[in-house]
Amino acid sequence: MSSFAPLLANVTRHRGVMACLIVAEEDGIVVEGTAQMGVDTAAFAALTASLYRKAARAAASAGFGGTSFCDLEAEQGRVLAAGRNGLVLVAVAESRANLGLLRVELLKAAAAL
Amino acid sequence: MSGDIRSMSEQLAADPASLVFLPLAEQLLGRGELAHASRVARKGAERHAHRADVHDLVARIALAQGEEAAAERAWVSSLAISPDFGAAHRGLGFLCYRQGRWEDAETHLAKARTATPGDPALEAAWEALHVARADDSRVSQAAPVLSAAESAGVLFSAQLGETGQVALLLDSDGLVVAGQYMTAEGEDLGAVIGAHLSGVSDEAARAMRHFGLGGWTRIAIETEAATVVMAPTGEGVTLVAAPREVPLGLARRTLDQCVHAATEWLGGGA
Repeated sequence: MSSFAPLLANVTRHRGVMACLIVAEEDGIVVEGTAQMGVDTAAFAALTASLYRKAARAAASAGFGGTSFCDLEAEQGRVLAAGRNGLVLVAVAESRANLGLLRVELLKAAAAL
Repeated sequence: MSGDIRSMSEQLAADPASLVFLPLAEQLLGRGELAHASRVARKGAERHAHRADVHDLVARIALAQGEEAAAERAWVSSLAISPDFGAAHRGLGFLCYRQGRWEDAETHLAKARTATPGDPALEAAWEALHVARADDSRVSQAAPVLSAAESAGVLFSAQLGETGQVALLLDSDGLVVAGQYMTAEGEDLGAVIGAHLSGVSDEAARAMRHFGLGGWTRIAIETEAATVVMAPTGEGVTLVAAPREVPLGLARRTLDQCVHAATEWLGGGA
């Protein structure tokens, strides 16, 4: 078991979480992750890393400093991301997932990256 | 300086996060030391932006200073946190009555009377309001009509209040359609912020299409200095930036209110 496995397990145990990955922020390559069947992890990793990178760069350019957390809410689910040290912990969850709990869990896990 | 005020000031200096600023500012207000009361209350409001009673205090001091617009913004902030907060409805009721805004006055006074039944001042205002409304000629004294540019600049004033948040309505190219992002130095950074952050929404739409989660409805980005929340509005985006001390939930709530205001404004053909 890798050192990241417990971090991922802490996130995926929450209700409604469909996938959780640790991704390299710069190129979107998967470092480690677990996903339910049907989730294309490579595409998911690439797109979420790109989104996080874009959000972080835009926020920094706008003068808001470094980004710690990003939540993208959609009609049928949400994507959450928390980054540190060039890595991003990303999760995709159903709408019924508890945002408050997941946010705390991701920030806690990201602190260990 | 009275002993009480000195003691509370010392307590506040020792613990700036303490709620002792509330009775301190109240006492200063009562003594007519308005500038000092305002400084204490506004500083407290920065730290305790989530408390409805703090915004009420800021509003009452602003009103005592003759700053009606600031008072109204602070009470609106209070109601954004606690929609049934009687003191804010009371203040707004009196203010709207004074300004001849009968419909608004009636709405707020009715809610204040529900919150504080039997308050003699409210009952007197309620009676006076209905006498005044009978005079149709006074109804025409509505708020001044703003030009399109002015209304765009102040579109989100009521939603933002005194919470330190700012809001912008951006078009699909990231250009500012309404709202302002003023720095302490009076510089409007709206165009810069809009240009940088509007691209995030394109990335979000692309990701959501791929994941099959439907259209994106909201983005929250937490950074060192601010929490930025965005939502699609018409063909553009509404963006709210809040200082980090503002809870994420309040920023999201403000965003929803700004989206509503922007949608109505766009629908009005502004």
